[in-house]
This record gives sequence, structure tokens and C-alpha cells, in this order.
Amino acid sequence: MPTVFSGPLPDAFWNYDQSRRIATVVAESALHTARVYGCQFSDIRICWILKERIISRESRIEELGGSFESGMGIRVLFEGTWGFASSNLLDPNEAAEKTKEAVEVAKKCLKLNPRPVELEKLPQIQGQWHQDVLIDPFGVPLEEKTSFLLDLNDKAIKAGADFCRSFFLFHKELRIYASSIGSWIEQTFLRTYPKFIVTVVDKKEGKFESRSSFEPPKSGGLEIIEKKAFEMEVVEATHQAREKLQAKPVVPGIKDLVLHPTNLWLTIHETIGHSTELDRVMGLESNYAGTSFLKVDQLGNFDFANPIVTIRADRNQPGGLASVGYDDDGIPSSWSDFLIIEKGILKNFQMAIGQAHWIGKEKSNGCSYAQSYNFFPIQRMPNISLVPSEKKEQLKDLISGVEDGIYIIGDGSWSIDQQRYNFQFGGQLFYEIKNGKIRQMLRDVIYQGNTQSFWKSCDGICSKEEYKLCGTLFCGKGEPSQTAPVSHGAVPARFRNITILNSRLHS
Amino acid sequence: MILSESEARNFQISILSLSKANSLSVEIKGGQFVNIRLGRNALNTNGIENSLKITLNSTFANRTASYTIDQLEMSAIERGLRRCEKLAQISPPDPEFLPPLGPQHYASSFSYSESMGNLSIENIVEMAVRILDVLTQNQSQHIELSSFIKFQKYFICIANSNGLFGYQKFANIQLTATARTNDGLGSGWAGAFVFNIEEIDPEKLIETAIQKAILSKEKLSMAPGHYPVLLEPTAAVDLIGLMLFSMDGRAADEGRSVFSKPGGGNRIGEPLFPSNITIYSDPSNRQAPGQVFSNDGLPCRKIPWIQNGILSNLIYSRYWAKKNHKEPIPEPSNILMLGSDTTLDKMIQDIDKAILVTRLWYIREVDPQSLIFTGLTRDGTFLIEKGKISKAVNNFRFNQSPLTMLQSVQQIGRAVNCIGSEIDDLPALIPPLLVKDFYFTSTSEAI
Repeated sequence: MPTVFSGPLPDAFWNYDQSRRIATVVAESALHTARVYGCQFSDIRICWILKERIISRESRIEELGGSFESGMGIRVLFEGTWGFASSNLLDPNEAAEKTKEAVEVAKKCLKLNPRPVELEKLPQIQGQWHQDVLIDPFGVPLEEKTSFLLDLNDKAIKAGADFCRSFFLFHKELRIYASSIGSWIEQTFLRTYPKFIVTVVDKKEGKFESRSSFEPPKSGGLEIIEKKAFEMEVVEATHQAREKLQAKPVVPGIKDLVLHPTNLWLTIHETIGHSTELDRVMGLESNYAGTSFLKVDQLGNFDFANPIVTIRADRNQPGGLASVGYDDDGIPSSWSDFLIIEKGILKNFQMAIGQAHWIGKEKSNGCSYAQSYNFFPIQRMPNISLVPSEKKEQLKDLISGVEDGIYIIGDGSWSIDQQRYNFQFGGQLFYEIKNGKIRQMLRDVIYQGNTQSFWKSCDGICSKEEYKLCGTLFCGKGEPSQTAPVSHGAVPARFRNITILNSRLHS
Repeated sequence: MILSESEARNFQISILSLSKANSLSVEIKGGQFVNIRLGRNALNTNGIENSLKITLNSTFANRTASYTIDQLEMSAIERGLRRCEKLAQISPPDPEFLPPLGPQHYASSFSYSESMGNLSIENIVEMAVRILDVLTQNQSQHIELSSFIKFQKYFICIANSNGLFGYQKFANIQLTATARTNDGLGSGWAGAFVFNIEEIDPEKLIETAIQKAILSKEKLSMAPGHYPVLLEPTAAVDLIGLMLFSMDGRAADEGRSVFSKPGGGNRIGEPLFPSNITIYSDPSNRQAPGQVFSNDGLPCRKIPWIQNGILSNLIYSRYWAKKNHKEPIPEPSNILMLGSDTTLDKMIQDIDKAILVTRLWYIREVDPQSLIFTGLTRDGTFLIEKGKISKAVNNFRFNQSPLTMLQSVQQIGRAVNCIGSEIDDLPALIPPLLVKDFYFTSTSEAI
């Protein structure tokens, strides 16, 4: 097998200077056309996106695929009404045509819009931001990547797995933003997602169990993967999957929970991340993702969580999937550093431009994102994380305070209602806690709760030494549905008196 | 960008002629996608997207790779193809490789009509205006309405160097709407996914959503537990669709599926359900037309998945089918369930007591072993008593397997076009189902 991959991509696919030149003429054409047609505001996102996916199972590469996409999305504000059009053709004439189309859409939609959009004063930005990358996966020989996955699968099979599927997803993007107020922003992003799932089967009994890797997707290159640790984890995961086959089914009841960050991140995402999106609170997502149990007038006074809980939003954590220099409204990430919950009290909502005045604020907080050039930017989450305790507290301290509970590692099944009250989560590994000690492995554990009472029941949070950043590339919202990358940092935390069900008994 | 069949064929010939690999398969997909989103009784967002994507799949002996580009110039396509070929040449040999298919015969489909394909942005805006007019007529009801109209007109063309060629055009509209009462106490939903413009009635849909919102305002608190449930098609399609996509033959044969037989093999041929359950797919269906070929060129034909209660087929990839001496069966491109002549209203009249579930939400697999899903009811859950909807009830979370759900079906109504919250891009004809035992594990305060 050849040992040399193509190295850096051919210029025609990824040439920064050439892309900038194209973007300059395309943006000038679009923004000029919007001005000529009398738009109050206009902006354009021009994207060049490289993706690679390598999917393997056992000794086979099931799928080896790449993509290169580019295009532009133009948003105009005409007499208080938005219009949006996109095209995959990066050409100044096409830009003018699509801008006219966006203006036409806005004009036609005027009669649908009795509430003109009110934009706050937006900052004029000339900026660049580039994701720090040590090992660009697109420059790594393909064989290294496929061998890594096949070796991983082989290790699992040798350790006793019946099946092992593993994959790499890589996403590299140059996104240039320009607006009618004179902003020009160039950003590059690189996201890497490694994953494996081992499965063991007891054919005689007709039973099987799986265990997925804990390593989350992150911003960055292949340096985000600690190769040795990942290889060790796949062996350990295989043994744990076998152990799950024989594990004791959980006895349902009310128990305390200690949640590892690999589980808690998703609970933060669903219960706090989505409920504090202002467009949901205002009812704009009601036809799809839903609304929120929160109300605008609860800002600053809603008793969301135990006073030990503080939740922070940011766009600058290293490795954070929502870490960027500027959001898709051209707002600098410094605006996105804010507390959502401070000492248990609701302190802020997430906002895109045009939304701040709904809650009496002067400016948004940089929470806009569009999946790609062909999507209208909407309000999306920055990184949203649990702030570690300032008091030195370790996992063993949390465990020692539990008489009858369960320690959960890894994320599993997840579901929450459309107003973010009632949730149900699973996990990967479950351990019984009895009288302050971790005991045997359990299986079939799911926990249910209500967002506010769950966070009120939190009475233990570890300190920063145990902080871990997790996340997803595929948070869904909006119509047409858009996915967004977002990370959530957490430390282990303890929750009292939570409803535990057995997934197989409760069906 | 829409290419006609002859334009697409010529484009394919040009692309195929550039190949230096042993074989090349090409999929071209392009179209125009128009959307208008209303929120809180006004425009929220909109968009017009013009796109064209080309997916290349090159093979050298048993080494394969794919590459997708959205560039139209032949020089850009050639660069993409060279990249694809380079990836294929250095990819590991595929022990499950099968050469691309030769020419195939594909069924005809009703997925495109001129009357639908000729719609313009004006028509879509007009539809949105009609929606807001219904709202004006119902001003006294104090409703906050959100709605989404998606009009898509596109084509898919597949071809390969072994002579395979397939072309299909689509034009359809999805219209969904959620009406909420201003006091936040009631919510109702209605939706449609149609390929024939005559089949969509925006006014009726909005009125349905509004009526459900008003009806659901005053709620009776009901405890979680096992209940007889009447599932509207919009709710039933999600669980049935999620079950269909779990019907992978290989997973079943390998012992890691609810359709695996203890001791080995799968459960094809077993009477898993009552004899009145028949679920199939057929891309030639007029009301819910599907794609007539799969991505790898297999013809999508009429496939019974469950026939008179018997598990009849599972999804079989080309490789797994060949290994097991079976016919390959691609994933369903539409979902059809045999219904009866009984309307939903008549079913309600015949029910002594049951919960009417109009819509489900956020459905996720909990246990693949038993195929248990969790999710919630949403936008109108009601109590039926003595042949009438007597009151609204709170929403519930369920933990339920579609298998046990179908096993306890007592009555099946008339199959209608529907769109689920999870199965939202697959055409479907599903009847309302009266299920004897549906398990709600907790209640939800959400409205």
C-alpha cells in the first residue's frame, strides 16, 4: 500500500489567497447590488468546505469519502423584512443575481411581516480568526488514518468483541463574512471526530451489548486524539461490554446520581442550552424544536438551580466546537462570554442580532450560526459549560456522600420535551454506589427528571482538576433543519433523589 | 439547478468519459429549494437555494472511494475526479467489494408533476398569506401561529461506467403549522407532505391546528401508566418508520437486532404481529411516491416488510444478499401501511375510553435489544370517552417498542398522507391505530 498521501490539498481546492480574491469580487457585487436595491442591511457568507469521512467495521473500510463544497449565502434586510438566497456558484454575476433574488423574496414577504426587524447598532469588524491546528488530518497520509481505525477494530476483536465499528469525521472550512456596514471577517475552522462502538453478542441467549468511546468531537486536528489512550480504551470498552451482558439489571427507584462529564454534557445541552435560547423563549421555534419553560420576565430572578451551580457561555475554550473569533452575524466572540446561570439564578438568554431589544438589552451576545452558506443564520448555542467548584472537591468526595446511588459514565439515549421540562437520559456505563463506595456494574439504567428540580437537587460539583470538554457536531434546530457544532464542559456532579427506571422493565 | 433527463444524460456521459479508474459511478442531484418560515404570526426567515451536487465513486480493482463536489465546470469536476481516484488507489482493499451494477429497469413514479413543478416563490408566498388570513379570521381565538412551508423541486440522476442510468424528478410541498393559544395553555399542530398541489388545503390545516390548540387548553391531569391509545397517523408513522429503519438483515443475522433469532439467524417468516398488520413500500404509489432507485442503483420496487402480520423481508445490502443467496433489498423510499375504510372520526365514535395521541416528539432509541424508543406526546393529547373527545389531558413520556405496539393493535383506520416529527422526509400513507396497551412512564408539563 502506498505510504504517501497527497499532503496538502491541491491549490485549486484550498488556496487561501485565491479564495480571498474570489470572495472580494463576489462580496462587492452582492453588497453593491443590495445597496442599489435600497436594502437597509446586507451580509454575505462565502464558504469553502472540505470534509472527509472514513468509516470502518472489523477489518474493512466501509466508506471512504470526501467532499469539497463552496458557495455563498446572501441575506438582505429590506424595509424591515429579511430575504435570503444562496448559490453554489462563486461568481460576481451570480452574486448580483442571487442578491436580486433575495431582495425579491424580501419584497414579496413584506405583506407577511407586520413586525419589522429592528437591528441594533452593529460593530464594524475587520478581523481574522484561525483555528489552532497541530496535525491537519487532511495532510496526514490516508493509510495512517485507515490503519489506525482498522488496528482499533482489531484490538477490540482480539479483546473479545464480536463487532467493532470506528470512524473519523473531519471538517475544514474557510468562511468569509462581509456586510454592508463594512465588516470583513476571515475565519478557518477544523473539527475532528473520532469514535468507536464495540458490540458483544451472546447468540445463544439472543442478547447483545455495546459500548461507545468517550472521546468527543473537538475543534482541532488529529492532536485531539491521544492515540495510546484511545487504543487502551477500545480494549477496556470491550471488556466492559462483556461485563454489561452479565451485569445486574437496575432496580427502579429514587436514587442519587453522580454524573461524569461524558454524561452530564448532554444533560446541560438539552436542559440549559436549549431552554435559554431567546428565539425559543419568544415562540419562534414552536413549529419545530419547541419553545421553553422560561419566560422573558424571569431574567434575573428565576431560581433555576442550586446556588452552587453557575453556567457560563463562551466562544473561546480551546477545542470548543463553538469556539470561533466571530459569529455568523459578524459579532466578536468577546460578546459571547457571559453567565447564563449565576449561583443558581437565570442571568441571560442567548441572542442573535435583532433580538436584544425583545428583552430590553442594547446588543446581542454573539450566538448566531449558519450550518453552511446555504442556510439563513439563526440563534445557536455558543459553548455552554458548568463552572467547576472553587472548593477542592474530587469525584471520590461526591461518591462518599452517597448511600444509595448510581455513577454514570458516557452518554446514551436522550430525549426531552418541547418546552424542556421532562427529560430522560441513558448512559454507557452504570455503577451502583452503596454507602459511599462504588460497587458492581448495573445495566438498563435510565434517569428521568424535570429540568428545574433536577438542577435544584445538585449538591456537589467537582473542582477544575476533573473538568472535561465534550460536545456534538449535530445539534439540530431551525426550519430548514440545521445542525450546529457545540461543546459543553463539565466536572462530575451529584444530584439527589432522581427517578431511575429500568429501560427494559419500563416498556 | 434542474437538468432535464437528456441534459443529465449528456452531463453524465461527459463525466464518465473522464474516468481513469476501472469503474466510476456518478450521482448528480440538483434543484431549487424555497422555504418560508412564519413565527408568532409573521415572517421569521425565508430562503431560496439553488444547488447541484455531484458524487463520484471510483474503483480500482477492489479499492473504492467517493468524493462529492458542487462545482459545475468540467475542469473542477475533473480535479474532483482525480482526487477521488487518488483516494481510491490508496484505500485499503475492500473484502466486500462488488462491481457496480449494469443497466437496470426502474419503476415509473408520480414524484413530479408539471403543476407542482411550475410553482414559483409567488405561489409559496401566496400560501403563507392564506395561512395568515385564516389567523385573521380567527382573531378572537388569540392564537400565536408558527408555520413552515418548504417547496422543493429537484432531480437525481445516477449513472456508471457499466451502463447503468437512472433519472427521477421530484416536486413536493411540506406545510406544517403549530398554533398556540396566547395564554400558553393550548397547542395544536397540523401538517401535510404532498406531491400534488390539489391535495394541499392550507386553510383546513391551519384551522385544524387552531382547533386542536383551543381544545387542548383545559387539561385533565392523568397519571402515567398503561393505556389504550388511538394514535393519529402523524404519531404512528414515527414509530413505524423508526422500526423499518431498524430492519437491517445483516444486523439481524449477526445477532444484534430485535429481528435476530436466539441461537442464530433472523425472524423472517415468523408471525410477529396480528394478521391485520401489513406494512410495505412501493415507490410507484401515487399519493406518497418514493425514489425508484437506491444510491447504489438497486431498483426500489414494491416490498412487503410485514405481510398479514408475518415478518416478510429485511433490508439486504448487495454484499450481504449475495453472501446469503438472497435478493438485495434497499432501504424503503416510502412507508405504506394497509388501512381500512374507517375514518378517524368513526374510530373515535366506537371507542369507550382511550387516549388520543395526535403527535409524538423527540423519539430516541433506548434499548436496541428490544427496540424500545422513548419520546413524548405533543401539541394536543386528549381523552376519548364514550365515543367523543371529552377533554384534553397532559402530555406524557412513553417508553415503547413499535413491535409491542403493533402487537396490540385492535383497530386500523383509513390510511392517509402524513408527516411525522422524526420521519419527516419520507412520503408515507399511514392509518390511525387503536393500540390496546401503550406505556407512558411519566407526565410532562410541556404545552
